[in-house]
Amino acid sequence: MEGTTLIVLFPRTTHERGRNVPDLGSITANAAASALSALNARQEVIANNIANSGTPNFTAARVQFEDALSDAVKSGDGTFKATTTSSLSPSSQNGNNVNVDSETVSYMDLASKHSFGAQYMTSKLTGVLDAVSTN
Amino acid sequence: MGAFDALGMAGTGMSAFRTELDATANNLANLNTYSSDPASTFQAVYVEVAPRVSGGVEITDLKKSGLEGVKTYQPDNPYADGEGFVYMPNITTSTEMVNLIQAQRGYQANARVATNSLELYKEGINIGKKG
Repeated sequence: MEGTTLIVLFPRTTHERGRNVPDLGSITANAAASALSALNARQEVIANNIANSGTPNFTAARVQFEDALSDAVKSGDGTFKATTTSSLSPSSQNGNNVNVDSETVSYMDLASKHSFGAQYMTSKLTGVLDAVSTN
Repeated sequence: MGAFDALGMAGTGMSAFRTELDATANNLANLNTYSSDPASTFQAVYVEVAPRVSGGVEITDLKKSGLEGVKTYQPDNPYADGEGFVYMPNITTSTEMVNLIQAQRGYQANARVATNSLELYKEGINIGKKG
């Protein structure tokens, strides 16, 4: 191994945390990445719900990931998958149960969470860039 | 599902609600379009929509109300039949106004989704950018 330098940039397992490398594979970074994809899924579902806010017999969908996120951080490596379920809200006369108000509020909520996640990922990545850049 | 699907879904929503706005405007514009024949009197047109398989909404049909003209006594009207009757479209103004407002709000909600999606995509694309 003489003359060879091995730089571990992306440790994947949790026991590698604590080394002096910017750990992109840490539980928090994994959780943030999974959360961003879950938020994207939620965004698409909300867009679909609002597009169908006038469609008869349409059932709104929900993307749930908060519990999975909490479990993944407590007892996993931070990665998780979001689940899509049908909304149980009461339907109006034409069988549609989209509530445009709550959909819009959810959209605002996910937009700020997405902002937070994107900023967090940026700070992680720029940390890695700083560490590997020579000047 | 693709990368920028939410934008496309909002687009289908805007298109569907705009068609509904157009149909309602047409119904209201023809509120007083009389005719001498009950069967050929103008009928209100309603837009039928259904969820699209790939996400979003699509227009499946434009349906006529199926209501014949309402017999109205207007002996001075040049279109009146021998007994002095013309036929007015059977359109309820309040229903049309409710549809108009619903379509308008639906359009606004979708337009908002489109604007906010762009903001979100921009954030995603800028992940890792310094400064």
